[in-house]
Amino acid sequence: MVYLSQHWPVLLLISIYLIFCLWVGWYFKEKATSGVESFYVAKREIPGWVVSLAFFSTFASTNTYIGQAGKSFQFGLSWAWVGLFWSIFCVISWLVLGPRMRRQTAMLSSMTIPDYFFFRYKSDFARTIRLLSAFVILFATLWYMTGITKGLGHVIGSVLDIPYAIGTFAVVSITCAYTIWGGMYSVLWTDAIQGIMMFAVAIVMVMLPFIYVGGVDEMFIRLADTQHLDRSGEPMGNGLVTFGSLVSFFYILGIGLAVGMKQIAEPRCLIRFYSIDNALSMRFAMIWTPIFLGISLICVMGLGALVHGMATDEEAAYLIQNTDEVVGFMLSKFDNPLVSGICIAGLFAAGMSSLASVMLIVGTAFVQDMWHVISPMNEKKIVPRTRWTIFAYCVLLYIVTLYPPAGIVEMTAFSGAVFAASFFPAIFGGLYLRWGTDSGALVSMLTGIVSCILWRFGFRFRFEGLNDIHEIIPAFILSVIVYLVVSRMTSKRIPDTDHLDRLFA
Amino acid sequence: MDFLTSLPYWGIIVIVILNAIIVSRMDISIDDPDE
Repeated sequence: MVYLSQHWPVLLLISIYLIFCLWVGWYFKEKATSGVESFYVAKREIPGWVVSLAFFSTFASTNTYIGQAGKSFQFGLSWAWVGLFWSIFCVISWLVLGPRMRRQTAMLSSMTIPDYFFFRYKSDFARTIRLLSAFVILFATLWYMTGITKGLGHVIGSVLDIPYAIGTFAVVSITCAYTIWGGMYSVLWTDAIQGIMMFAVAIVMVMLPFIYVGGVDEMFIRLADTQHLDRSGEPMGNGLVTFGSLVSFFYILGIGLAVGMKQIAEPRCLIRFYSIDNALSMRFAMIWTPIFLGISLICVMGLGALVHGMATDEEAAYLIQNTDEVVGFMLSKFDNPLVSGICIAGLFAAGMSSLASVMLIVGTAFVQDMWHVISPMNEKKIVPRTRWTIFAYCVLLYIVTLYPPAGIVEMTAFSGAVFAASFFPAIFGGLYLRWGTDSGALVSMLTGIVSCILWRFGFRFRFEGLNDIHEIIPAFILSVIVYLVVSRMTSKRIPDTDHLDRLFA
Repeated sequence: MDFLTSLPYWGIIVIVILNAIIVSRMDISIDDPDE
């Protein structure tokens, strides 16, 4: 009873939210079972506002709301530059890729990113590209999903005193259930609701430090000259409000690019374009997605720096070494159960929306782009097998989450860099360059993967001057150059003119 | 807060407004012209 009286607002809000997610999955169960196109891309009949919110909630995750928000405790208000880069890539993604991708994928009856490569480049190599890209998805997403689940497990533990193993089990099993039942329908509709919650929670969270200290003026007086120590033990002084004082611009640029570019390369984001129902919806989503994301990032990216105004010297000394705990500290210091309940439900939404999207991508990549390619199957078997694959992957995810490898956060950022460097040239070239070839796509994909690995494990941490240069920068530049050069060198492998005329009409 | 620290906050707002203007003037087509 004591437990319930302490935690009832959080438990109530989270329970309502989880029951709603399960209901959405169950509601769409029959519709999603009607065919592969229904389960994989929701028959391309989803309204723009749903896809827009789903894109935002899929891209932003607990990593943004807890990890990146907390980082500004260490790096100051300049950390919002990362949010500026992310907003720019959101605009680029919708402006440059969105309409053309929706149009070409519908023409090609493509239902996954790997099969887009296969249909677009049309050759024997295209089959290899499809398999390679499906393999990259299966491998790289596991670290991302582990990082998100681990984050949610810790949130549940710190707020509700629920053991890590039980909390992560609840998150994985509930997300798995509604994804398996409703496929892309339930993923998109729950994502949309989660997007609304996340947008509202970002605005609520940024207000808390100002309310706590007594206004904007008081907050900036505290931040302008603080005695809190930075990581090296020196007083921050005016560092929180001075550009480049606590973090180098190269470091900001690396994280800004590595994570922001996921929006132009990661299947969980790009697959959103497939499901939009018409041009009017596309226009709505192109305008509103950057607004949802941009305003949320304005609220969240500098949040940690504002928490300095709430913390004593001792608390700040602890938090500077544990920036993932900054948001939790802010909520407990504000000490309002209802506000905590709303914010925790929003953090849940942030994590689960990303998890569900990736679960579906993993299932479709394995069944449609690996199993079906190696051993073709009856179309009626594709959806049931995709569901079983998602279930099996969730079991694997849960086991890995119980024993997470060291450096999971770094692995998550690394997987984003691999996606951007290996997928973007093949996608952009496929959409815009008639002379892009399968060889260019395959070699650039391999170049992106290899150069990411080589830079990170061979150069970056071996030479001090290169520490702040994220692998995404050299790997991305190299893979784009390789795509262009190899495509030009292998012009005989350009697909037939009829195929290209139809795609580029 | 100095100019470069504040730039990303209002920069995001400028970018989303510019994007909205550009998109509202764009001719957007997502259908197959053969259909």
